[in-house]
Amino acid sequence: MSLNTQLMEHQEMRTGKKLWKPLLVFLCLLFCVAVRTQQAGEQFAIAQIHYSGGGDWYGDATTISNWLRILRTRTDIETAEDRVILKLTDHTLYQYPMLYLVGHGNIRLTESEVEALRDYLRHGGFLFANDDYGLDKSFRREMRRVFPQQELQPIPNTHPIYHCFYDLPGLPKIHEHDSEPAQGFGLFHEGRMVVYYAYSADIGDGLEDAAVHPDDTPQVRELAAKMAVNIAVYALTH
Amino acid sequence: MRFTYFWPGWAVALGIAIVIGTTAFIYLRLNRPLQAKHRFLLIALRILAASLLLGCLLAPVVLEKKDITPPTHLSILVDTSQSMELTDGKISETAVSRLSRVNQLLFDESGQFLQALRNRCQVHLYPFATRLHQSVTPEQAFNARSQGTSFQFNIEPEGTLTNIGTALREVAEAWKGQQSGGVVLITDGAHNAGQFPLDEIVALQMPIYAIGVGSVEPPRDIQIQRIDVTPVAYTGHESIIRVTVVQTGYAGETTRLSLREVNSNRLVDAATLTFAAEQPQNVAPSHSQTKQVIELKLTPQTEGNFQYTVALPTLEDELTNENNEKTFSLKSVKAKLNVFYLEGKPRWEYTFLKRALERDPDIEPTCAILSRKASKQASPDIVLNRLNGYYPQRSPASETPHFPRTRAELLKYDVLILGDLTDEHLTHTQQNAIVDFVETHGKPIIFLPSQNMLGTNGLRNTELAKLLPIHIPINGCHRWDTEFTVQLTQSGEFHPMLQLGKTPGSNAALWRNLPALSRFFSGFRLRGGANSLMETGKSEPILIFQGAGLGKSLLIAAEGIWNWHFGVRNFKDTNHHTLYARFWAQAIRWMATHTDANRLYLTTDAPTSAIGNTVAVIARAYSETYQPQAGATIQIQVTPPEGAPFELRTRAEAIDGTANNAGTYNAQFEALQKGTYHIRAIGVAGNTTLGEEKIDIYVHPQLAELEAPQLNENLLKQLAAQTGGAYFAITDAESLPNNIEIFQNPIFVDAERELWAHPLILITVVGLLGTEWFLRKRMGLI
Repeated sequence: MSLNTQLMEHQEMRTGKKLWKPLLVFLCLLFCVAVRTQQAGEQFAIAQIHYSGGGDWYGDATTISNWLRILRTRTDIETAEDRVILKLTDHTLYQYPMLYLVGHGNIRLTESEVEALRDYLRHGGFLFANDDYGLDKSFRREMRRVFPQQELQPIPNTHPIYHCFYDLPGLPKIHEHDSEPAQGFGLFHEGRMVVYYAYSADIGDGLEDAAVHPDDTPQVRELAAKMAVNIAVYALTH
Repeated sequence: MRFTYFWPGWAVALGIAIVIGTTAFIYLRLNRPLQAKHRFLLIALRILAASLLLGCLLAPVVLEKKDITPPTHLSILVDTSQSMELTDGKISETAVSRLSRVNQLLFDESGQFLQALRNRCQVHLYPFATRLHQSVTPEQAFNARSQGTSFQFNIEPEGTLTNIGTALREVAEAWKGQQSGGVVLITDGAHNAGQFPLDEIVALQMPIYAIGVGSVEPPRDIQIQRIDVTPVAYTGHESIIRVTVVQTGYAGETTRLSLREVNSNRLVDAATLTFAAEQPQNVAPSHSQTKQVIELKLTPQTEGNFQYTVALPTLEDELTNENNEKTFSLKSVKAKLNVFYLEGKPRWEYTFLKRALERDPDIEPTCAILSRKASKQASPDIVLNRLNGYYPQRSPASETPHFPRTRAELLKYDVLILGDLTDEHLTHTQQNAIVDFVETHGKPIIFLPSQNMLGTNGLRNTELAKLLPIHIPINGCHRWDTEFTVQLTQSGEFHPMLQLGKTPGSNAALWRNLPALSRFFSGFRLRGGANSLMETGKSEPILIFQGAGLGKSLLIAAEGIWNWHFGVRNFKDTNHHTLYARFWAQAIRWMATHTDANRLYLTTDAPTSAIGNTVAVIARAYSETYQPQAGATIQIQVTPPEGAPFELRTRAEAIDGTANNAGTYNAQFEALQKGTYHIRAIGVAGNTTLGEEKIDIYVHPQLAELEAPQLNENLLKQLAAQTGGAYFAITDAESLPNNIEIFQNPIFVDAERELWAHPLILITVVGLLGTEWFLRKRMGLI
């Protein structure tokens, strides 16, 4: 999604031409608030991070539910139905060993969020961060606060995350972001990859309902689905 | 002269007067015709004799100077250790041993050396090795020689170590305070009992005249100096034996180092070795010696105590082959617990348990996920299809673990964990192998169900159902997705695998405060003999144990245990943070442990020892929950190669007095015999027996004397120079007596000598009286 497009959408919202979209977001939020108090139980659930600063944390509203459905139908994984939304400082954080972070632009974490995320990752949690466009600079900055001793490492195409269920040639390119190639990056703790960051691929958009991004072909959406399966399987088996 | 018996002057005068008066009176009354001069002669003779006797009654003494200068002692110390038996053939064509040369010097026919010393000092002869032996008196040799008879006197070799420092300290103590001319030290200087205490010896202020025996050139020799191996090896796992080989004079030559099992004489490993010409940088060079470390490998196949010998062949012209081999004992125990965990689907229970098993240093886990659903999909890019349904777990994927193909492979595992499997996952053959694994071979199985295992299509109609400690109802167990906390049953409160707290109270509290679980199963019936150890708040059993044939079976009829690891991270009480790993460690160990299993482990401080060395024995005791067991009573009995067994006293602190780890007990004994010492320990904690443990250690003859047997001339020269003595080669030793410096002034004192018993007195008195008697006879008075 280019910056011009975002500005146009912003203008349309101000003129009331696209009021249905924030309404949809609002309804989604209401729904999420309703489900966030649910326990994950033994069904595999993915919690989307509601970070406190900037960056549109609420994006990819249908991504996780579609992702879970794909996992349910294609693998043996017993999954929850819908996404859970969490703040990193919520006391229920440790009920969800896998987190999803998405955003545009300048995301910001408070100091307590940084500490909470660091503890979470060190103690067994896994984070999948999806660059929905323009996230890269701020995400790298925030990750340097979480793990000051290391930078995000490029993940080679031979890494198990690309081969743990589907045999993929690498991180698939779903949406065009400034003509950058899709690249996977990771952060590691004690040999375990604790953060997987999909840069300029936008797996999250590829998992959205078809109506959200009607231009996406079924083949592209399938690539996103396969990568999403691999990410979840990797988190569950490593 | 003076009189020591004091009489008053008048008494002496009276006595003399009486004598004169009486004598004169007798002779003057004599009515025989006698010339006056003869009469007075006879009177004078009698008076002289009487006066002399009277004088003796006064105890006359004479004063004279007496020499009381004390003797100067000289101690000769002769090294009799093993290295003194060596022959330095290159130097001496006669090829006699070092000690024989010493005997020649001291006790040859001429006896010049010792006599020369005796002329100047009082000589004491001491053989020594690690300390002084009884003083040898060479008087017999001198007496025999002076009588012209032959007497062979020799100092015999004795001792397997050389301690020059101790010998010198002891001789200094023996003659402390006496006039000393110093010490004559006859040795090769091969001090090998610790650091040479030069400063201490100098402080004795005793001149040392060193006589060096032997050649300064080290003899050609190869030796196995040291063996490093962990005291415990694991069956089926390779152990590395590091052998330190030292060579002298064989640089560039090649030989073969072999490792054999002693009982069977089976060759275990061998290595071809070329002796290095130059010393590696990290090893201090010593003359032309070089040192190399060679690694040999062995993989014990069975448990027990085994002895192995590392040996080098004897090379040409080698000094000795006694140091060409070393035997060591190695205890072989079961390897790390091999755990096979087969899961039916990816889930967090698998993820966190796999991580916990991988972090446990005593567990070798093999984890696999077998999918039946994935393999039904036709997509060619699903990796699982190429792996028979197994999720790839390793890179490359072809190395992904799978269920063992044969029963033998399965039996290599100690514990089997089955995750959420159904009747589709395992074949009949595989199921039967598992039943055989548990019931016949006495191995444990742990069931970790999720939504499928206890359902209608779960294990109910499989061979594995008989291993479950429950009966699954026809319609499967009921699944409850609800939060609940766990509580221990009465059996569980005291069960070894559930002891996480230090006291029963804290243990119960820990379990009570653990994060809630989110799923449990109900509707089943416990098998006869099954024991519920843990339950929900509504008394639904969730941890059920039962013996199954010769093995054990454990069912965790709940899900979400991973929360005990992940969900406790924001608990303030950090005791909770390790509970998950501890629970699984204890559960797996207890399951894999037979009821008569040992909780006592023995090791020694080294794999091999030498005669005269101290062997440290370390016992470690563990509680039922595999925590270090403090306060245990450990009895250790040692059976030497010959003779009766003896008991060792154990201490809860380290031998050096430092604090020990809890549950560690130390003892030590001195190895005095060559051969295998069998060590046996029995442990008791309260009323509980910890078990019995045995270990062996092989004791070699002491071979330190052969490690650097050449003459250490530098040491002896330094010793002589710093103590004010001198150094002599044995060939120049005859000049030593004249070089001993004795600083001693003669001491005289005034002494009285009694005269009354002097023979001259008697002779004079008898002479006087005899002359008188003769004259009287001549004069016809008798």
